[in-house]
Amino acid sequence: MLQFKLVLLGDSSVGKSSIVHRFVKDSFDEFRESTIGAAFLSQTIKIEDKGSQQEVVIKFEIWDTAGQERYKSLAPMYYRNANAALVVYDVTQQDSLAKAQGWVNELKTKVGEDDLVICLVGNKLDLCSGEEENSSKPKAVESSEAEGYASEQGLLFHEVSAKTGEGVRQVFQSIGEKLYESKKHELAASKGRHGVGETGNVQLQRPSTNDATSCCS
Amino acid sequence: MNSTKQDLSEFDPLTVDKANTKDQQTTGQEKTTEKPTNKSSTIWEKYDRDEDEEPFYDFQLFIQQLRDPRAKPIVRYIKSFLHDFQTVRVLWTAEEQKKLINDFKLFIYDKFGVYKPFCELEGPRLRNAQEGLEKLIMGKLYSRCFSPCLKPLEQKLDEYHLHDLQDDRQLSLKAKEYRFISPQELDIPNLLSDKLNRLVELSGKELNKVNHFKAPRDKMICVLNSCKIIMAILTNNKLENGADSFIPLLIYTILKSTLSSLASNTRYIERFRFDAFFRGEALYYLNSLQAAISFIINIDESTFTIEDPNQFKQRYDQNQKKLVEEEEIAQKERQNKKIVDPPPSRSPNPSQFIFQPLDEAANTIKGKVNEFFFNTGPQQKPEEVHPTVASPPSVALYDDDSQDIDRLAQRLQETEQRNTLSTLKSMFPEMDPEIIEDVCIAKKYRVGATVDILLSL
Repeated sequence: MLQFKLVLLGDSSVGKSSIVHRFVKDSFDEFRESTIGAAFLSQTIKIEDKGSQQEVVIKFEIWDTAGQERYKSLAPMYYRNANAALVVYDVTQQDSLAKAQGWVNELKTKVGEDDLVICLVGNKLDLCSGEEENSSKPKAVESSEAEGYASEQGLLFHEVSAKTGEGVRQVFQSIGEKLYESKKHELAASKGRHGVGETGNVQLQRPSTNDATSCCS
Repeated sequence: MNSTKQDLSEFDPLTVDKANTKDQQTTGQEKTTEKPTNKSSTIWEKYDRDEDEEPFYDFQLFIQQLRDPRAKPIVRYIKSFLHDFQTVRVLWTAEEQKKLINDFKLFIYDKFGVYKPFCELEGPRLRNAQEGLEKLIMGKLYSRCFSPCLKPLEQKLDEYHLHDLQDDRQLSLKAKEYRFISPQELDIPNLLSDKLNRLVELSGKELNKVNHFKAPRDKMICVLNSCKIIMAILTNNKLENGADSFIPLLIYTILKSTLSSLASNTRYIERFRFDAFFRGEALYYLNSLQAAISFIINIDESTFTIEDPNQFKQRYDQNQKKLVEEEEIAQKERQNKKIVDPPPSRSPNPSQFIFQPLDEAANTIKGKVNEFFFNTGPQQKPEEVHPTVASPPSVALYDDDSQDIDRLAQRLQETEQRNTLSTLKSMFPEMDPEIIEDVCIAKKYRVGATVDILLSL
């Protein structure tokens, strides 16, 4: 089974953990593995190999980070060796997009890996659905604005509601597909070579680096 | 072969278990201790069934496999590596150690494929042998690799080992400086405050157990257990917002507990845990712990959410005063100790703890009783601590009376189990206490595993 490390970034008010909890909760029971509410979650999904049309099972290891400003400096310890990053903002808060863009910049400069898949996600779509006049909030971030930024930066982009589940599955599906496509060749090359202690698994996590910055310092 | 036996006996839980088994028969406490069995087939069956829940881990079995005459070449490789590691140079740098040990593991894991009985193993059983090897060599080389053990050589240490020791000191200073912090000042929600400190104490105690083990895996389990308790506290308070709540509470736990050598422990795990075994949840929690440590090392007043700066200053000064007082008392105690001059207590044998994760008390008391024999006459022994005082104190006494010590240790372990049980009951107030107790027994009072099950109910 393919395993990918996915790190969650975003301000504490944007509901980034809720997106993952919704994703894990709504996934098929046959794949249920984790305790809801945890800071670390793993979830398996199926994607289709576009060439052979065969189903491929991939597993996400999802690393949550603390979104409060004061814990911002701890993020590098979480996103190192990540294969994918979910950068979340709140569609009803204009300044949350700016913060998300800050994360994207940090990832691009600090991780410096071309194959890191970054997905920009606007959450709380339910708040501005417009169906219930009273509870409706104005949409502060226009889809076109965020989408334009995402395509400029080469990011995946989705708008979701963790509350209703709208769009959540597609986020992980699209990340999974993109990761699979980019790792496919690596995978083929390493086929038949088993890692120690694994039964035919191919680990795509990057090996930890040995430099001083990889320890907590 | 004789010397091999001697070599391995240090890691052999069988010798320890013999004493325990005897003890069990007299006290009837079978249910809490795992009984050794020589029939490997029953072990297989048992572990095959449990495989999903807990990875198969049986160090004793690995030692049995090493005793197999056909495994002789493996034993020879191990012995020669251990010998070379300790004699070629007194001090290796941390990076050299990491490489040497990792290369050796890879070499032996490869050789497992050549020699019986190892080449017949696969899946979890092969994994167990690989785990066993890591535990064996790290147990032997612990005093050369774990930074706090190298303190006497501090002048000659390389930057990484030195850095570990500096961080340990810095962390413990900072934790003491800000131990008076309230949960609110770290933005930990109010609703937790009721039982929070008791629960935090439990998770801190689990965390501090890293110092009772030598194998990277065993240390890792302590970290995992501690973090699981924190997660359970949050889940029970319906605070399901992941790391936003978890990280502050982990930091709070470290500030509120007296933990030693925490930075060194995390680096040791990171360096000597075999890469392929080190992923997923365990890696996440170790990273979080490292993040929390680096956060605390860099803490200052501006870190906290302070409502009333004057009141904060007052509490800070009060704590400073207390710290000075405590330091004075500690200094006096050190001086008194110097007069008595106690010999270093016997370092605990890691394999004693494989089946008994709740042995902190047991371990402490063994050390204490041991020290007792060296330092003072038997007339001062409290009756209930050690009932048989007939024989004169001597070094040999330790072994003669090991049974009594074991019984004592067992009693202490039971006390700790009772404490764990009552804490778990307060963590899960809505749950039937009998169910909690049943789960505890089934999981042999392993806190992490128990909490996992209780959370899933």
